[in-house]
Amino acid sequence: MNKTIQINLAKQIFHVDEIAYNQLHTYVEKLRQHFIKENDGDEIMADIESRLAEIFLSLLNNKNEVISQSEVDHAINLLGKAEDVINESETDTTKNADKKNQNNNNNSTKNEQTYTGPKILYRDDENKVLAGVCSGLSHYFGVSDPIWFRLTFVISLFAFGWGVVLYLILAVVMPKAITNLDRMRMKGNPITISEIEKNIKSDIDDFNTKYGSINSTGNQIIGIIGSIFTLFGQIVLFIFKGIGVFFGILILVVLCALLFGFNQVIFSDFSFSEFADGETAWANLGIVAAFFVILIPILALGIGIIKNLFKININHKYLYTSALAIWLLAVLMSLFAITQFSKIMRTSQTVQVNKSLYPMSSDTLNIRMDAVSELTENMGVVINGNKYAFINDTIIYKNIKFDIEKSNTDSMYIEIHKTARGRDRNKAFANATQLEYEFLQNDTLITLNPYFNVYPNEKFRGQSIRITLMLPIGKTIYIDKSLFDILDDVKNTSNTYDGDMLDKYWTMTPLGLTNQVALTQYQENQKKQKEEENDEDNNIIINSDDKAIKIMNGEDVIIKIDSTGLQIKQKSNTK
Amino acid sequence: MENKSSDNLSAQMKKGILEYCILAIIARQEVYASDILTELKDANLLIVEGTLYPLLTRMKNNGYLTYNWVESNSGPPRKYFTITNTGRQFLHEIHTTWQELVITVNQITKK
Repeated sequence: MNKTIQINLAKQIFHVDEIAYNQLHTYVEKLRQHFIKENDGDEIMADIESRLAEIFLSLLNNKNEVISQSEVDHAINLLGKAEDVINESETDTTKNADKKNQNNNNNSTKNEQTYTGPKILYRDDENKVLAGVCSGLSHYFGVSDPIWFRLTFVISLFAFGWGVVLYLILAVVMPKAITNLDRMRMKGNPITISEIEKNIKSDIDDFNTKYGSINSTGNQIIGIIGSIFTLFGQIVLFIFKGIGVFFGILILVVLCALLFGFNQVIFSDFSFSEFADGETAWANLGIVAAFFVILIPILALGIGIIKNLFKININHKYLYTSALAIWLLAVLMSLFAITQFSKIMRTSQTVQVNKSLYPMSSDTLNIRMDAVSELTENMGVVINGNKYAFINDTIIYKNIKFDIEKSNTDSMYIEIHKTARGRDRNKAFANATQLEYEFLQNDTLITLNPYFNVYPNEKFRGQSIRITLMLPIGKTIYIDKSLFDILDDVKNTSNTYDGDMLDKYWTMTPLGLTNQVALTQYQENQKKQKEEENDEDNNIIINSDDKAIKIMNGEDVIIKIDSTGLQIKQKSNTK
Repeated sequence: MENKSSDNLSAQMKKGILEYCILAIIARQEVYASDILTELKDANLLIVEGTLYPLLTRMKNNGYLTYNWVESNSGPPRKYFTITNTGRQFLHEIHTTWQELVITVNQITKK
């Protein structure tokens, strides 16, 4: 906290902090004492004060800003040190030549305008491509050519466009270097690790002096208690800050991951317009809104973190207000989109179609899935773990499940359960009926299609297909490895997992689907497990009520340790 | 050391012609102090700004210059300087002196 003094220079009011005022006052007084001896000395002083006012006005962003030491230093640098001005304007030529020599030497060394204060991150408006962020960064980090930063940002365009987000944040956070002083601060001494260290050290020193002063004041005991409280307060503050930073970073990471997901969708061949159909045209709006819902907090958090990191202190009141307004609007639009979507997805209906199979030449049949074509694999999108691809205006889905059940009759057939959602029962039913699913039978070989078709007017309605092969008792089936993705909890007698059922022959028995090898192994395992369970009859009971430890071996022996000592009993005897 | 004394000499030479140059600038058109400063700085003739103000006041007292006050939107009112007839005469005299100096110096150094 500094005291501010109001001064009047050439009829202009300025606010100057105390230290700067003293410096300025000494300077002006020195000059006055010299020039007062001359004719119209007051006029010379008025001119100089007027020039001071001009310099300050050019340095300040607005007139309410307080003039600090650095501004005064800058002004004195421009006008020249009091001694220099006095000597330079000396008319008396009979002055000692030696003295003049000396003074002139001083002049030449003081000619260079140097700024020794801290370096500040600014945008360089005079050397810019877009907003001057890169040239500002290169000034700050002492890199001679901004091209390196520019290249990095250009390259980052190809890394999912993250550079754009970062550039936007920096462009907002970094103030533009407007005044001469800004430019000097921007180009100040390069920031090095040792300087950052120095900053941290001075922070610690600050803390130490605060902490120390409490210790030394007043009563020793009160001092100690006080310092304990201060320390406690500091720790609590530190923890809260830490938690805040932690959550800030956590939220940032989560948001970035979300945006990354969005980016992936944007940069894939999938376009948003394909999301929507007649009934869901507003969905595009919802998606754009959702994008902003995620992006704006990222920008805000990023701005906050960078402002803290570089100790930038500028106010973006209008920016924050408008960002908040846009964000709220985006949230509303997203909510609208979600409610609309949930309306359309309200009811689910399943339609079952049975398809009989042609008679086969053998009791053993083969089932496999058609290879997924490279094209559809690469161009689709994955939503909720299901694959969607768009080919010639039709969407093909890869949301298929396969199951095998016991047929109650002698005939073998395939049940196709088509499920879809809709705004009401009728609509859902219609959507489900519309689904088209095909498989091929070539004698004993059944080939399943990995996709089913959806009509473009009803794109995303939670469509899924469940295929159930109804297998009569006595028939055997070979499950090909290609069915890995779609097997859905197929019941069998050996409780074998879906993944382990692949590449094996399974026969339908009255008990269920059976593989002899798997069944034998399963039964052996069951046996072993039972034996192990029987072995676990040794119990240790620690009973707190009796304050005793009882070790029981089956039901025969009890070893009891309690307040009366160690007891070993044979249970049958005690009864 | 030699370098420093040459610096010293050139500073003295610059100082010697400063008044002449300021008057020449004002003779061209009506200007205020900052305009003169900019021009002198660009020409590398002025080392510290503060020296200009006493010079201007002295020249005014000698009757070479007059000024008008002009209000400024962005700061304190400005003194706009114009040259007087006496000033013009004086300028003409120094100009002649300067021309002669240039010729003499050239004659000597190019021999």
